[in-house]
Amino acid sequence: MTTDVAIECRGLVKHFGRHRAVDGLDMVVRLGQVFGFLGPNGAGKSTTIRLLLDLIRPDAGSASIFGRAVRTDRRTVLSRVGAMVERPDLYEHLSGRRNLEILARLSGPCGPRRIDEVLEMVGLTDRQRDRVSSYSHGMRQRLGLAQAMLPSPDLLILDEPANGLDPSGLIDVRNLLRRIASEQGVTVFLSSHLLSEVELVCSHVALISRGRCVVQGAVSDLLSTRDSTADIEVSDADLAARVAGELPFVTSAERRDAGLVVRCSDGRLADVNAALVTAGVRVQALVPRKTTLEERYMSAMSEADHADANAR
Amino acid sequence: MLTLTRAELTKLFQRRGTYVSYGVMLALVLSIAIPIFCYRESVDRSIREESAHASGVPAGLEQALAGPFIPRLMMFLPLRVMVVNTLIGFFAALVGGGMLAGEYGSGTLRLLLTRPPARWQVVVSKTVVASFQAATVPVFFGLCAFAAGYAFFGRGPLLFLDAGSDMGSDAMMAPYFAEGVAVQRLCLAYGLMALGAAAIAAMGIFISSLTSHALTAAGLTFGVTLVSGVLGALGHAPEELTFLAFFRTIHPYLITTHINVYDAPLFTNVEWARMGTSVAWLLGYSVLFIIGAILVFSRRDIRC
Repeated sequence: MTTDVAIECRGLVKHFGRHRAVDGLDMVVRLGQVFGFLGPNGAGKSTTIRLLLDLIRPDAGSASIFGRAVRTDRRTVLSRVGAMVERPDLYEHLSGRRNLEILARLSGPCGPRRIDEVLEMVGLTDRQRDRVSSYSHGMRQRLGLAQAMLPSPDLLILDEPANGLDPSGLIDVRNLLRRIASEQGVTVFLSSHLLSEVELVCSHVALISRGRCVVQGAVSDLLSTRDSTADIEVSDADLAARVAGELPFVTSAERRDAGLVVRCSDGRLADVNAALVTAGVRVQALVPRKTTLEERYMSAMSEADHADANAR
Repeated sequence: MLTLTRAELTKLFQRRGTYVSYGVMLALVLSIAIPIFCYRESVDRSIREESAHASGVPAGLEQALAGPFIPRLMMFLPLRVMVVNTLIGFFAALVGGGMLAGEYGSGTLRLLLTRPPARWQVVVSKTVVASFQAATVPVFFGLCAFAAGYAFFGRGPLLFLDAGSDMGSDAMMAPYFAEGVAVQRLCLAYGLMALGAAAIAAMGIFISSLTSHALTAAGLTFGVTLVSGVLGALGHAPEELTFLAFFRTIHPYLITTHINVYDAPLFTNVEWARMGTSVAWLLGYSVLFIIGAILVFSRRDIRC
């Protein structure tokens, strides 16, 4: 079966008692994407990941990976998946290398050379013979990543992979994920609280709230809006605000300190600049504002909250 | 399946705690053998006096006492009730109970279950490994007893002083075996002990599939074994005590009834039918526990 879909969830529902952890989740992740899975605590991210890995069973709906149902084709599906779910819990009484040797036996054909490779990738070669109980949290996180990459998976599912990593560790992991995605064509699905990290690493994201997907798409699409916003420093702010406010494509022009903040239709900032200059306003600086994933996330969550409140 | 079992063996036998059970067994054997060796003359005298007082010196006793002395060690097998029903049962419960629940509690179960092997394979491999480890404890106990017997007392015939009774007067009616036969009987007895320990470990796996805490699972398993032992003891009550009829009825079905069959080879006339029945029951119990554990564990949400 050939498909360009790596992960597909359709109407996925999971209850824990009376709490609906996942509530009709629909989501599609395509091959080769580095997909960020975002949401506040308790939004259902980890539950969704557990459903994808067949650790828990859905009450309704379906999850499939590479076109195969996770519930019925578990073995085939998991043989192509590497995963790290929540904390990187490993066998504390064994060395890092021994942990990988044990997991390698269960993951199909991966020999000592592959273990060396993944240890090298996560920078644990020097400490591979030490017991995991002596590892710092960051080192455990790296070993958790190593065990996920061990079977050379086609899909890497990572739950908060950056947790506990120091700044250099964050950069290493970011580069690693980019590299395996671009060079080896591995699809990466990662949940994270670090929006800036997701923005830097991911090509696509889904935002979930209360078990439902609120927004999904390419990061570039989510960050490009129909409006452009810019901070403009001018010689006469009052005049500039008046002139800008009269332009038909300007949505708002607010005075701020020695300048103003202008919001206009996308791509019309140059026209604003021209109008100001024509009106005799000297423009000292025009700095377009970039919408961050954090802003997009906050607005999506706010919209979801309003929608829920209205529904109630 | 074999790979999974090897992985489980590595995990279990690379844990230092696993060797505590063997250490306890060795310490127990030495704590029995050394005092008997030091006070062997007084022990001999005491046995002779008891035997003369009760039913006369049985044939072979003098040879057994005077000769090289595995018997002096084995004569303290009344302790075996404590060893088998308590210590070996405890260690079997500990290893079985910790297998699934221990990994659930530590979170490492996620590592296993996000790999291709099916859950039933995980349960079966863990049961095999837990039962194997539990079975090696009585085997190790037996080997230590043999080794200590030979080291301290040399080789010789064997008197099972506790077969059917304790070290009192009736003990002198106990069977007396030539060395070769005695070793065979003891091997059989330890083999049956090992089977019993393996069945307790399988029960531990089943209980482990129901809980998330290793100690809870081990405690429950050991508790069930103890309660079964108490119910079994009540089932031995004289028939005149009609109010205990219920316990006599359930006695043949209790797991401890069949675990305790390890003493059968120590009697002069071995009850082969009883032994066969109990072996079948123990195997049946083990299979039921494995099936139960698979059914429960396959449907369980892993939320650790």
